Amino acid sequence: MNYTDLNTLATETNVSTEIKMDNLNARKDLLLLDLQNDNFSSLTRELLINEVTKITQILNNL
Amino acid sequence: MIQTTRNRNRTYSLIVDNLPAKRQQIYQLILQEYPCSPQELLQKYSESLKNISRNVAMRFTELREYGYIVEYGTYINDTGHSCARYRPTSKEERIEIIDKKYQELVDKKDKLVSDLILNLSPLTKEMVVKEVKKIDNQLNNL
Repeated sequence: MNYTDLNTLATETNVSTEIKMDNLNARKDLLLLDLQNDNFSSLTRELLINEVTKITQILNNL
Repeated sequence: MIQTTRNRNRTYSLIVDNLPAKRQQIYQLILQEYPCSPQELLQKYSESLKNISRNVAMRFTELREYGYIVEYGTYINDTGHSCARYRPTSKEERIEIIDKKYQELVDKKDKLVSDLILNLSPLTKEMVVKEVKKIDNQLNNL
């Protein structure tokens, strides 16, 4: 099972909530770190912001 | 009017065979009813459209995205909202729309590809690569 994939992680019912939260938080931290980089395009920035929003929503619903 | 009908039919025969079945059927209805909105088609063909496509508005969006139809006026519907009507495009119009869309997608892809050389996490790079593949698919479908 690929727990680095957001959709798998969000829908996989056999994974404990704790593992899901750890994985999602790690994923979110990585993306937030990348967002501090000012050099990339607004398109990539938009992709990152959308992903962070998606993760935050999943975390709120866990 | 006769010339318009001839042009319409010629354009239709040139491009309609390339459309996926559901889009093709909706496109055929648009050719009969234009200018029209998804809501108007649904009202008029509620029974037959059940078998064609659950989401007529989505098919309109796809047809518009690929330059088969363009917005052609608006009207106020029963609930007081402004709705767009659409008409089929001519061959020239469609070429122009596709050229514009092609350029937009290529520009978008170039920006994303140039981001890949930056010092970003593998996670972000993976997302960017997925987006580039999505754009490649869109380009292939134009």
